[in-house]
Amino acid sequence: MDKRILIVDDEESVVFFLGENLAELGPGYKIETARSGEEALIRIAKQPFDLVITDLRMPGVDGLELLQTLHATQPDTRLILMTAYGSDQVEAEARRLKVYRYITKPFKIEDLVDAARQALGDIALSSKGILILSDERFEAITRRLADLRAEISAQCIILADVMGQLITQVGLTRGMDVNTLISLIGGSFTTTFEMARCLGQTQALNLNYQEGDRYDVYSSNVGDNLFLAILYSKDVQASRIGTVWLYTKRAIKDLLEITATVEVVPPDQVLDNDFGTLLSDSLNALWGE
Amino acid sequence: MFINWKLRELNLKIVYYGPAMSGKTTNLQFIHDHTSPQVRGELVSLKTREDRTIFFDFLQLELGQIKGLKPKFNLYTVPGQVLYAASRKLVLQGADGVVFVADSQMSRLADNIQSYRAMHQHLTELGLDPRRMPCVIQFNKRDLPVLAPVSLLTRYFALNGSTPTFESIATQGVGVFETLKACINLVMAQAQQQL
Repeated sequence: MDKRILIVDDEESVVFFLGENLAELGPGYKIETARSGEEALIRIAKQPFDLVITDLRMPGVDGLELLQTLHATQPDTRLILMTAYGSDQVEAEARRLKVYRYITKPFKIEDLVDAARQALGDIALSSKGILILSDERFEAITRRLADLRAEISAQCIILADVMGQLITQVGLTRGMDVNTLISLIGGSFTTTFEMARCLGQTQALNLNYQEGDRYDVYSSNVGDNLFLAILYSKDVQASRIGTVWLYTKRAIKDLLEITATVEVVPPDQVLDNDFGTLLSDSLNALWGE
Repeated sequence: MFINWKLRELNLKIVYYGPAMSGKTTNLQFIHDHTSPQVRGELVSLKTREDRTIFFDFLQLELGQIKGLKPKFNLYTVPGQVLYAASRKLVLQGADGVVFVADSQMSRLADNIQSYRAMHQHLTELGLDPRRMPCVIQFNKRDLPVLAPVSLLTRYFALNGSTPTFESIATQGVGVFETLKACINLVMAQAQQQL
């Protein structure tokens, strides 16, 4: 299936020029254009795109608003933001929205084509941080979550990092879009942490509860990097909020102890020269020099 | 390259490409036979009655943890027969690196080049840039008579020195591990560059 790219810019000449050059990517790509944020939203609602490349400043719905909508509704879409009016705030917001590449105008067209190619998975390596867990810690975490689930009779419990990556889950998640769910919940915790930092707080426990007609959803951060999502299906089990929080807080305390020395590092610090050397040593040990 | 966050696995896909009967499956067979069962899975092959690969061979190697991640290498061969062009393209999809296994016999020169060009074509059609794909070329069957000299092969492949090449006799294991290790190193180097 062709990979779909949407170029969004209010300047016709820019849209045409980018479209012509991105055609260099080859026959496996379908390129579409939109002349405004509004037009882009209509197209995106009809059919998702693999990559959206947008200008920042446009009349009406601007680039950031467009990316915010995409981030919330279609987290799998890769995003590239182009701007001649960069600022620290815009860059910070782009980071929060997990924009794949932030390109400042003027730029070389080859750089944009390269960024598009990479964004579309030629190197499907996530740019997000890697949580380093030993097997023992991973098992200890999963066991503790299984205990919590038994204590509060939840349908499922999900542990993820605030970047929206699933760490582990216990219980039944059939029929749920777990990745989208944790991405949405993770986004809400990012705001919480920013708020805590703004208030100069070094520790914050944020407990959320959402009552619905099909599910009750509890979520809580576990330190600065992780969060828990606890789901109850109304068809099976009603939740008791006080009991849930009591046992969840105990579990969070245990999880914080288990992960006390765990570090979250960006991938370039894991897949560095050391990793290459250690990998090479392992292969030499396996097969000889 | 794909990181399975839940299982802490770093997955790499390496595809052995080349003309029919150049020794792609023999490479995998040797790796399978000379690697500890604790590290490797079963060699999965789908063959015709004539014992030629019809779709692909698959072998998985799993190393112990390195900096918290378990590297997993998924090795595939493509069927060499002209008939299976679609399968070759399919297997190339998502490749992190390629080992091109060339048959060193003088009589196979044209087949090698045709297959090499077809590989570039497939990569382009898949939206991958052949010039950026980590690739190692293995000149196999160096034990047979009437061989093309390496200098001639290098010229035919239009190699400029940046693509690593290895002479091999896959039936005896000569050059097999060296080729694979070089390909893995290239994949890792490129991943680091792109982070």
